[in-house]
Amino acid sequence: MKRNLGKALVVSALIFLLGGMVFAGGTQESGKEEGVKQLVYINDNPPFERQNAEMGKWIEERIGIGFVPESYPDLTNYQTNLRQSILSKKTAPDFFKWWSNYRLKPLVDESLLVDVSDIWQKYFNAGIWPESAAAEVTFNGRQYAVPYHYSHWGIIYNKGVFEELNLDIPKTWNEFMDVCEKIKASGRTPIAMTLAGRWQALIWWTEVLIKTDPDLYLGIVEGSIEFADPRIIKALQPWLEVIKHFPEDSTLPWQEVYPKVYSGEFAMDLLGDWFFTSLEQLGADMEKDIGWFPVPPITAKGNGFVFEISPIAIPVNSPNVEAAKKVLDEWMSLEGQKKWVEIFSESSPAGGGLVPKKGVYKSIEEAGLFSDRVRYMPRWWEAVPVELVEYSIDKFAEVILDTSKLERAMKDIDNFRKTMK
Amino acid sequence: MTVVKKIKPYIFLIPALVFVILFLIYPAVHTIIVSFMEWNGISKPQWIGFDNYVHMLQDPAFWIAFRNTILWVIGSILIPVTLGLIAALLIYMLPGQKTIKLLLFLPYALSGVVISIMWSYMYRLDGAINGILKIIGFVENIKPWLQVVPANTFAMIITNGWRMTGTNMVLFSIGMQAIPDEPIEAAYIEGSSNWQIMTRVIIPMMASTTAVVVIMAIINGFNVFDIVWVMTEGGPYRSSATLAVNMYRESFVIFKFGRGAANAVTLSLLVFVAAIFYMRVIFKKSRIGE
Repeated sequence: MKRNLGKALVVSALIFLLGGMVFAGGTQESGKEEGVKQLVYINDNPPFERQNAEMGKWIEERIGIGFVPESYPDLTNYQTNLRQSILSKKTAPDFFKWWSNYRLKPLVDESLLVDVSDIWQKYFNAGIWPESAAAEVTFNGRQYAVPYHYSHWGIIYNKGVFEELNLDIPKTWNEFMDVCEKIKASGRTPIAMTLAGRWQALIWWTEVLIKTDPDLYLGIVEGSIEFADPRIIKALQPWLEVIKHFPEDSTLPWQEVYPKVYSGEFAMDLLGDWFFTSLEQLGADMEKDIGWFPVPPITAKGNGFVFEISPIAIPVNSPNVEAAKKVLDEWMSLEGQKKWVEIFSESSPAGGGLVPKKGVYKSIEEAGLFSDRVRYMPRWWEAVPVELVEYSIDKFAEVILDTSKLERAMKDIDNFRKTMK
Repeated sequence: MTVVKKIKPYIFLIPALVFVILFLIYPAVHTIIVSFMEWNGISKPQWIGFDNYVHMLQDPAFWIAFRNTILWVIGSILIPVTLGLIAALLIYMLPGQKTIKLLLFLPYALSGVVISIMWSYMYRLDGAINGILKIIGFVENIKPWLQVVPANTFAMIITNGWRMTGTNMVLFSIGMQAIPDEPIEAAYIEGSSNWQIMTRVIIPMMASTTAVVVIMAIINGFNVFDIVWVMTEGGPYRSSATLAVNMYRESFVIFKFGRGAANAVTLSLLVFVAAIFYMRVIFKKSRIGE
């Protein structure tokens, strides 16, 4: 009996110990600031693991402090874990990738991010970065993140399909619709789309509005124009035409959609230029296989371009704030951005606009994306509160599956917006 | 000495008690408290009374999810329980029990995620289900099933039926093996047909097994998450969401933890009430039977 009693006490003690460990989760001390040489960069981009690691090594060679990427594939898990980990000094990463504007704001509001205005100011003064580039990470005149990438949205198309059907790059909206019709007649799907990831439902709604009148889009973003406004309903009519050219099955997972663009089963896809990396990883030759063109304007006013910025931020609880700031400073330098463009094959607004000097990227430069002729429009995903984004993308999906629901869906979004705090 | 003797039994309870408090009571109480708060997981929680519950009840998506959850509960009872019972009865009477049992039980050994991905492929426009429809001449009925409302919910209920039938079959088989031979032999001697033996002897004698299987089906139906999340994420446009999916979405997609907790409390109450109600009915019946 005594032995049993002893066992029970030992088991109880172990459970208390276990409980203690659970509550003290992540008690390991992260790197110390003094003499730190390698930081950890937490992100949600496993496809860019190699490029991130290369960038980390390059920066280490330059300043003696580098970083290694740690990527998480699941978006929801990534967001949840990151939001929790930055709350404590014991668990906060050195620095991490996030989303801009309304997705960044809650972290800024809770004073969880390091103010990096001094880094931006240095490059504004040197004329390397335009002040407009910081808009999406600026709150009350201060900057709380640096750009990981800027992505410009345009049509990525399969050159083989265009050559086979003898199609020219469309310069007007009517030409674009004509191209869609010809592709459809050939038995292929003109425009890639999936609703499996949900967010893709916002792609064409935004684009059509911006190519009609960017001010209408900004009015909706700011809340000064209602979704059910007759001007919006009228402006969205071309969207209903585009929907006719989407695949019949919208349940395909994203991982199956982009190989179909490469194979030519889907001829075109409207996405940010980050999509190039995915295609390159499939083996696409970005000179021969894939092309890029901007969505043609629907009206003369339609000179807007959707762009997205994914920022990198440093938590105030980061164990290596100063070292992380040095790394991000180097990242934002002109040399850093040139290297970034070379490694990632993406464009950057630094230094008056940097674009990889090869293949498909030339088209982006030729479209004059870094000139004053175009107006950059924030992506819907980050431009309005998360709650509204989530509600509206479901309504956009409803319209994609049944275009007769356009007006009803727009009224619903207006009503939802009115109930938001 | 007597005091030590009196205390001893309670000391043995400590390990279990600690587990229950740490992993059951504490999270439950915490969830109830959070359901009265506005909290995004990083801000200071603010007490807002019943606002989260009011918002939940006024949200049309809640009622869609509620309807879908009820469909899931009904579907979880109708398909896997009924099919499980039929399979168990057939196996009871047929040779080759082991192989059939193994084949039927196999889906339960697979993870919910694997099953969901597998069936998602089958429901696609170019999937196996449409392939079969094409072969048997229903070309007009070919659809991407997970995109069609409310067919998507029924499609996922069928997937769950495929997953759970084998488990229920095993539980029913165990229940049948516990039935003594005498009443069955007596029924044969009295000249009862197979059907009469099955409906008047075997099924009534398995009442307690049926009660367990049905209660498990009710709880699983209310709590379903993995299949829905992997196959449709509750979409398109939240048409196939259940209460558990809504709870997850409010908490981990929109970061309204208070609303997520309100969903969780409501869901738990529904499961609790349904389980208690069912158990009361069953026990009342068995007492009448006595």
